[in-house]
Amino acid sequence: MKKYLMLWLIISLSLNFIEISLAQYVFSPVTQKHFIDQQRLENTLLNRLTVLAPYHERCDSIIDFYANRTSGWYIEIAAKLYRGRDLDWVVAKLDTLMQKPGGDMFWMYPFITVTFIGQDRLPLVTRQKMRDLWRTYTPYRGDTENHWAMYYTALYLITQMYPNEPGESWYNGRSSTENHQEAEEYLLSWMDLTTTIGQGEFDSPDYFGVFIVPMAQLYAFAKDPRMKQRAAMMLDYLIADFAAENLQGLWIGGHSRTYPDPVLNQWNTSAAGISWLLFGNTPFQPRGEAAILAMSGYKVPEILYYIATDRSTPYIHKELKRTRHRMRYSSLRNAPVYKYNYVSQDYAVGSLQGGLLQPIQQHTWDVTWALDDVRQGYNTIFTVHPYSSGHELAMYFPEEVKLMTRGVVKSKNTYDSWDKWTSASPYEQVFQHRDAVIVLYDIPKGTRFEHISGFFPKSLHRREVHPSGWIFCHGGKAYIAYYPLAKYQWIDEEKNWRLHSRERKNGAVVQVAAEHDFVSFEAFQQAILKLNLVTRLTPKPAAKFQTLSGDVMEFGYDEPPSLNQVAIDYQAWKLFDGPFLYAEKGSRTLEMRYGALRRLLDFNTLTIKEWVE
Amino acid sequence: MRYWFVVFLLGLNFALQAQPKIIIHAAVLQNQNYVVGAANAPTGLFRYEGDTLWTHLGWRNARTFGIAVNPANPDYIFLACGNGALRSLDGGASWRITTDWRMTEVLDVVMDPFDSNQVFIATAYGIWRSLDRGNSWIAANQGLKSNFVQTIEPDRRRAKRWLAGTEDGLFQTIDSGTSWQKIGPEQIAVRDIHCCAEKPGYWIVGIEDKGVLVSSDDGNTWRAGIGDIAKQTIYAVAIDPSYPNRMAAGGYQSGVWVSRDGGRSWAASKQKLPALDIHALAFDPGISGRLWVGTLGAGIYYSDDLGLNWTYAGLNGTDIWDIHIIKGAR
Repeated sequence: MKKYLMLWLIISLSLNFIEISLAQYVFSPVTQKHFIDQQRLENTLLNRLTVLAPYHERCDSIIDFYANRTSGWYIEIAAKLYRGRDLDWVVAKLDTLMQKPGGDMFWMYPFITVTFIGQDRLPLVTRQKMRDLWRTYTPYRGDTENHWAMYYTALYLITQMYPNEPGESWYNGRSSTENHQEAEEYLLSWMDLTTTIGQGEFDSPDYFGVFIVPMAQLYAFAKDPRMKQRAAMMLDYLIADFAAENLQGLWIGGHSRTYPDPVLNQWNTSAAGISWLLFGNTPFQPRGEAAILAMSGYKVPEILYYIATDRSTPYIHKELKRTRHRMRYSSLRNAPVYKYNYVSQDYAVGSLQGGLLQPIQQHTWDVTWALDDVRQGYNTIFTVHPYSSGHELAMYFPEEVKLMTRGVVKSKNTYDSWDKWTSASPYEQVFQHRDAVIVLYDIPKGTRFEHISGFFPKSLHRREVHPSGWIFCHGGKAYIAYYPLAKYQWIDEEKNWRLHSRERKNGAVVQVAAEHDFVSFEAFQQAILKLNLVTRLTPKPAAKFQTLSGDVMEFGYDEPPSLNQVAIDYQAWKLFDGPFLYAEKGSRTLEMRYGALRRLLDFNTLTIKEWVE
Repeated sequence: MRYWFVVFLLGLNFALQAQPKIIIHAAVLQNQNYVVGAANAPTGLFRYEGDTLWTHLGWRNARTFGIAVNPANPDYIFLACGNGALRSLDGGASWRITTDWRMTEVLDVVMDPFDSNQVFIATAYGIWRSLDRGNSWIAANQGLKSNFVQTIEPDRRRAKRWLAGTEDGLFQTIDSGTSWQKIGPEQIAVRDIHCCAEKPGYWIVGIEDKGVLVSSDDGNTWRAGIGDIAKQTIYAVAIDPSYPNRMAAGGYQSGVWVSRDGGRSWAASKQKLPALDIHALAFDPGISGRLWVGTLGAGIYYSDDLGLNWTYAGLNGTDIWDIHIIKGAR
């Protein structure tokens, strides 16, 4: 048995050499260097066992999961083709599906997967029918970043497969060359924007998969080695972004584009499904996006595995993102979004600075604590001002201002509800330092919904209101102290207590700590009660708070926040800034760090460098 | 006798052939319950066939904001769509998207009445101009204060002059978009502009929250609609080519408003339509006084008595964003 294991290790090591050499030969300009020393090789060997082997097992597992299903969706067809089985069934199902194509860019991405995986396996007549759909079916490009990533990736790949064809053979009247060139231009432009000023549909636990899928498809199917290399680097980039901000596969902190249920049950997201595949740090859930990534052949770099799973040392991680394109009411096409996260093994606290940073589906701040089983969900506390307005929507959508709320409610039915849990508000401002947060509200009279809501789950071990005003909570292995700035009432709901406050000048001070740092919950309370806290509501809400770490946070509504009397310099905010990830704004680079390991993505030179410090 | 009868029939036939044909198109932005990426009913371009019948042309899901059809060659069509500017040169049988990823959310498209090779599009990110039927486009935003341009309208009597309606007011160019200058009142968000080809100097503008503006001196001065219309948000305006003092306006929860005195006074239509949100209005150039109305949700109606009575003309359940009528060459 030992002999076989040794043999396997030797073969594995050899393959590793070949893999690195090939990658250098195919993708890298001569300037690329790999600083691989003996220690590194030994580490790599070890890592193959601890990181890549289980990853490949999970890849196989999810591909088999879909290959064994028979409901007839494209992802099952792709998985069966990948496994080379049930060809008659596949052809019959494809025939049925192709009779009524629909779903626009959501049709394009699974269809292109089937097209490429099936290119050598499907009968000619089926492939001809599939090709003809690109002439007769007219997919809509959509109106947002994930739509465009899917749309242009599919267009890029299908015109790569069928080059030199005239406009009449394509649904949009443009030739293969025109379509291919436009798709490439858009994709390069999006990658450039993302690696210079941040993603616009940033950090969405629900839409993570539909950015991963197009990059995985380009990685798997693009013929141009430069595009293939870009796609591999963008996969690393997007996954690194998630890896540094996850706890047990849950994407913690502030988000764009999330939905009311996933902010409460954070495991129920595309990101968690992909986290299972990549890192195995969360339970399995079937996600078609994960299956497409598994079939792409992408290999997760081991440094990302460590970044995603090692929570032994608490850390601060900051990011710069941007809003999606603004059309109205803004001098900036893409306003900056400042993210701040504090992550430990027991809990995480994360926030955006507040304001209208994402229409409809913004999640501005939260506390999340680890669970023995994250599928239970409801391991979070946060507040929200349930704002809705045509003004907000018109900033990002072109339809009529007064009609927009009605239109949005048709598909996002909580948008105009008093009790919604996702919302951007122009009257919400947030300042975070480590695991303490000050959130302030100054809601003008007459605003649609003048109250704020706080989410306190019933899964908390304890929730106690102290005579001082502090609300002390115990969730998982985290202690949470929440000080409301204004009077409120509790509403008892199915899964939670809702802190409901009708005061228009409002806010909260929040301090979180690890259970193991205190001898008891009572000791935590006593420590909090000793902290200096000064708050006011008029003329504008403000708070001055000495945190458990001894720092003094000072924040007034519409005033710049300060820490220990030094104003926070948002202008100096980096694209990524933390122990695991670092990137300067505008740099087109991302350096990943874990212990002595380094991995540098450089989009300027289209190279990946790895070394051991 | 028989000979004269044959001559008469031939003459009648010739006369009918020579009559310009009225061609009516409607732009459907979306259907009720539209969701991007879902299995939606067709949107885009519809051509009127009479009674309540319409034929859908082109892309099934085009999310169309505006239409331009060349009266001299009705087969030459442009659509302003969410995806870009679509062009057909064969009456809608085939289409080409003429714009690329940089030009999106196209809200209006207009062919130059003096040179149909020149086309302007108004988009959520600015104005673009083509000199070659959309084969190439150049940005034309110099002087604009806001890049959100919802509507653009040519001066139908003076070449190179155009008015653009932006989120930050009304702008004018006299050099085909090389530069723009602000005109009209401050602090208005413009939703629609109409220039009357039949009466020199007559313009009407629909604006957010403040009703309409009317000019009878070619935009040198603007008169706000007075009375209750001044509080309305107006998405669509029209001037009757057969009697230019007759005007119509409609918008958010407004129903149809009409003026018989060149915009000096306005009255709400007597009979209410099934939907009060109006986004398209056009007077029929073939039937004097006939007013076509596109609603949001209830389809298309017309009235021959300025709103005393309405006749349903189809497309119920759709949001009609634009109605375009031409007296086209036969």
